[in-house]
Amino acid sequence: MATKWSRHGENLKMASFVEASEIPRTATKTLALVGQPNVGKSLVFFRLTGHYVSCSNYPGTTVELYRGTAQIGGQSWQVLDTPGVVDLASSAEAEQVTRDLLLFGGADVVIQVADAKNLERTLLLLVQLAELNVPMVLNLNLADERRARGLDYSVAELSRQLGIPVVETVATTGEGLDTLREAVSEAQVPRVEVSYGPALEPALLAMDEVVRGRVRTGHVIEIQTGPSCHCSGGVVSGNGQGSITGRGLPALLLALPPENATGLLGKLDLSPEEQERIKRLSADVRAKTPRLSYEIAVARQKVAAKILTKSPLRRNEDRVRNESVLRSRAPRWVERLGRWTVHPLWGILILLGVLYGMYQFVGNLGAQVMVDLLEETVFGHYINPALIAVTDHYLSIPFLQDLLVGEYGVLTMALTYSLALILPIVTTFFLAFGFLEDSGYFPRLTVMAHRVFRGMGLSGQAVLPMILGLGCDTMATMTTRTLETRKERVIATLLLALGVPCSAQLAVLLAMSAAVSPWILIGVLGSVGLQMIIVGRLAAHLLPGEAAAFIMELPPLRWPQWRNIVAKTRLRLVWYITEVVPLFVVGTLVLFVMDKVGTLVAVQAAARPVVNGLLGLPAEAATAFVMGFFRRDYGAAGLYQLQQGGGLDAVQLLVSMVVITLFVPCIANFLVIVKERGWRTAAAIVAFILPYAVLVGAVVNAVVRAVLRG
Amino acid sequence: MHCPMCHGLLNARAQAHACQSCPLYHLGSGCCLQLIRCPTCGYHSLPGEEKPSPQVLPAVEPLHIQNGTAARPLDELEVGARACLIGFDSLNERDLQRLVAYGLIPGARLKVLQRVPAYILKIHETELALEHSLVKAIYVLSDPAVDR
Repeated sequence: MATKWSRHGENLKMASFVEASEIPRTATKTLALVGQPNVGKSLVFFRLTGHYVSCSNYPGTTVELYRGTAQIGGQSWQVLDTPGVVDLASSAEAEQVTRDLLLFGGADVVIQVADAKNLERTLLLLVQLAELNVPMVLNLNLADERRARGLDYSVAELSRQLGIPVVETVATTGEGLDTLREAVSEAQVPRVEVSYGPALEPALLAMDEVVRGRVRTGHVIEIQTGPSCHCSGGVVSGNGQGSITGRGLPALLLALPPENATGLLGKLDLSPEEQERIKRLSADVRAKTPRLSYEIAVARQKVAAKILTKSPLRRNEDRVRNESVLRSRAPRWVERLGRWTVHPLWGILILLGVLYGMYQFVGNLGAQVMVDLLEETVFGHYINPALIAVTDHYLSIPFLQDLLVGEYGVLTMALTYSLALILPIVTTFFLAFGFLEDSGYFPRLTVMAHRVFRGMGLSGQAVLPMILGLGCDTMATMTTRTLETRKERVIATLLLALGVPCSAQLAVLLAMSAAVSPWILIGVLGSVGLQMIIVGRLAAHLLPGEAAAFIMELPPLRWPQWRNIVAKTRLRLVWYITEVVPLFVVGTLVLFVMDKVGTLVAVQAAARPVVNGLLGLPAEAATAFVMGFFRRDYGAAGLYQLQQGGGLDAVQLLVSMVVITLFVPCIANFLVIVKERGWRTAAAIVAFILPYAVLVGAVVNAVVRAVLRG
Repeated sequence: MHCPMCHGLLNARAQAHACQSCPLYHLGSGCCLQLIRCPTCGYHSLPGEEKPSPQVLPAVEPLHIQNGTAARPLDELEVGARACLIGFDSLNERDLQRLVAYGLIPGARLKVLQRVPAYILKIHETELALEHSLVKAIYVLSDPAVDR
């Protein structure tokens, strides 16, 4: 199981990275794309290499690293797409991966992909990259958005000042990409010099003397996504000359939080005494300079501002008028819609509208129309009868017949559940999720939700892992490590395990309630949401520590490209089929054994007082809860079957859905919790959730029945 | 301590003098640069500076601050107001570093787009959502003249 789940978590993020490394390496030089989030980096990568990459960060949000090859100037280049960074000296994981890649990856050329309409921030990052002494090309992407805003500047002047090629592109249309390819061969180390002032300069000089030349390129890049993931096979080792000198590295060591700086030191080729010396030097500076990282950032900003005063971004009013007639992309109503999504009133209405749209698309189209077609017609009338007939004919041993096509048969139960019931539902869900993801709606949702999350001891940043939890709780649990404080990480893990239904489960819930009444869904989401708030508030009080302050960049709302959504959905479905379907088979086998040995009846009998008495559910529901241990959607699918057989009335439906949603996390999620938070926290979370889910179910049952009677 | 320019003697009063005209001086958070103004030659230097530095003052566009104009916390501004950031009060280093990475730096021009349910600021074509505790620690001069 251990190998299973570790692959489960990493497959989409790492698979392409690791597998790509097994391709015989013909590429001779390495090109890394680095840039801030939401600047279209992945699309530039796609245009350069011609291979699809996931454009946004799910799953595992931050640690995707994609690699492809490109023919540039008659030469084969290895191209790397790195996670978006805001500031290289940050404790966040995306920054760490990119930092390691830049320092140890041995990139021959770095293309900084940037937002053409935001020169100031572009230059802030450029100054940091320039200090690492790598040959660079500056790619100003999103030129169409710049033009639409009537902003103007001289690319030639900027290029002259920085001493590197500067190329404007529109990655969505491919404009300027040929020029960018040509520019790679002319890459230069930017001519940028930062003066850090009398307090820092001597320390930087002293540290530089120690670390100069101590960066071994080809060093194993540790991307901590799972156990056993050192990707040593996938070390990105170009034949860079180990040229990281200058002030980039010492400046990073100073600006990083001490624990991260220590981690970085450990990766350098230094003796313990030299490490001590660096630590002492930076401790000295830290003692003398309060707000050290801020001072460093301000020093860089001065340089950026100086460059900007010479090639400023101007608003060209004539252009605005001309372009506003011409522009077709990002029309005004999209901009206005973006405003409304964060409005205190309209924002909530839009959120409800989005939920309703998903309910219709996933609950009705996916779960009703497509499931009916697949389950009843294709599987019910053709595949299953055919399988049963074939098995009956060729296998005369009843035990084997039962194993394959019986009540808990691997073929009849596992395949029907996973392919006929869940597959159409998750397909529609992934399509809808991909659409919202690419539209840039999720960061805006954090604005609406951050107050609620505040009350639960979480910052607005935690909204994103929670939303990702709607995709898969297991992956979302891994992304909780991007949260800044331990308190937040524990609370987010707990709430994910407790209340956030994963895509497949949510989809089944949508399907089940769509068959009866939308009020059931509202009842379920209401009770589960209330529990999350109660538990979150309690945890916020009980756990020590604080949540980090809420800062979130809001990218403009963009109309998603269907090609991206379809490709992403395809990747996710491949993951679903290769990872989840086998788990369903294992779960079915366990049920089959339990059924044969008689444990299943015993469990049902033992659980009867709770399931039947407290929750008012039929005894067979206990089987669904057992199935829920394997995967929550598997359990939900069991309830779905029960409901379709007419075994659940409206109140039972509500109660069973609340319980299965709050119920213990699936095996994969549990193992990730163990890995991320440790055994004790994981055991505590499960020990809390199990009785709590039953308790809440019992309360909902009692209250709803009392209300209906009264 | 001596002035790096004219080698005249410097004292604590010289430091206070340099800060009189700075709008941050009255906040109690101290001066961001801790400049010392030499009473003899008028040169502004950093404490510990030994040679005249070619670039002491921020390279951002110079602020024309009238005497008596006081800095205000950003959360006092209305929606649609434009302002120029001049400093921070009581923020921890991590939060500061994150703000700076988004371009929130003394001298930056910004616009308030929204106040509830979270603050949304526009700064150089970037829209940034911030919680109130951060916004009230950002000090600005309202800046009706800037149109960006």
